[in-house]
Amino acid sequence: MDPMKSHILEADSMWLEYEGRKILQSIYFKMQTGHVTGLLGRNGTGKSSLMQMIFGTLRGQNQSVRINGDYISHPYHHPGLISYLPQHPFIPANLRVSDVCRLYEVDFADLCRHFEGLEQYRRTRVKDLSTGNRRLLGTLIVLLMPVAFTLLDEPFAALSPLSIEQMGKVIAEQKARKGILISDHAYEDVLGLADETYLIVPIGRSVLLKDIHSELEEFGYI
Amino acid sequence: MKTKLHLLAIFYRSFGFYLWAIPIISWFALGRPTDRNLYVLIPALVLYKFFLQGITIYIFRRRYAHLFFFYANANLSQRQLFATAFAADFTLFFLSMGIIQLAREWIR
Repeated sequence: MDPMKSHILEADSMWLEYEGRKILQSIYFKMQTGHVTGLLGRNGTGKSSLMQMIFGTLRGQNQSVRINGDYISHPYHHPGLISYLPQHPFIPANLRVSDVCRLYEVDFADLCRHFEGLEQYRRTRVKDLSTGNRRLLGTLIVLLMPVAFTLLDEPFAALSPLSIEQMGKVIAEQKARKGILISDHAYEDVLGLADETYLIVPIGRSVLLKDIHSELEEFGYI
Repeated sequence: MKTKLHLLAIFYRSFGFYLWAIPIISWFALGRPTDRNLYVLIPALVLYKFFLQGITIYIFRRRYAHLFFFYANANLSQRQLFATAFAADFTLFFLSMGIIQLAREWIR
């Protein structure tokens, strides 16, 4: 995709049920390049499932993901379109940090420009990194990939306050060239970065927040 | 393309040795080094490999499902990963059997 052009990703009719239990229904969701979009919701409301449905790895009973108005069944099949940071460690433990960068077309120097402390780990295997550094690497690598849209599921988990602050700066920098979706329970950090925020409320409805704090209270999120 | 091949190799390496070694060891255990004609065993070994591949899919999906996102971020689906890995596995398996057979005849 042309990184110089503006792109819009829309998701609607997202319908997901597990064993007859409704998780998502009546969802409309929009993100665009140049924007950070926040996604909030209590535990178990289906935020991660929604992200995976948008990414294309999880199929629900129904879903529609459109890029610039064109339906795409599996967005992750398209090079340069979308990247996704899952909640759990996802990088094979035996790979070296430099190999991961090369495979994801991310410049290691770019990684170190944002987090100087990573410089010493170029030849280190992922399994030898601490939990925090592994998470940091995963988040950074997904964020810096040359794609139009990035979905971040709990990017601040396992990071120290200083790292969260620095990660916020990276996200703010990266939004100039892509659309970023963030879901995290550190909601103040999400709200600080987001241009618009959606809340998933029971049972599986999405609400675009306008008067953010009062609506978060009204829907019982805080 | 080179990156995709590298990723597919990484995926196959994560379980490939066992998938390759178990049928070969079974072949030996059933008497390949002896003089008995064991070509009749090949269809059974192929079925055995299918069974092992099924087990591999089950274990990978149950225990290592989070790793699929690593490959999905590089535009590779589970179907592509397993299909390529198993095709490579069969190729290696038959090549190994061929080499063992040739080596045995050469030693004679």
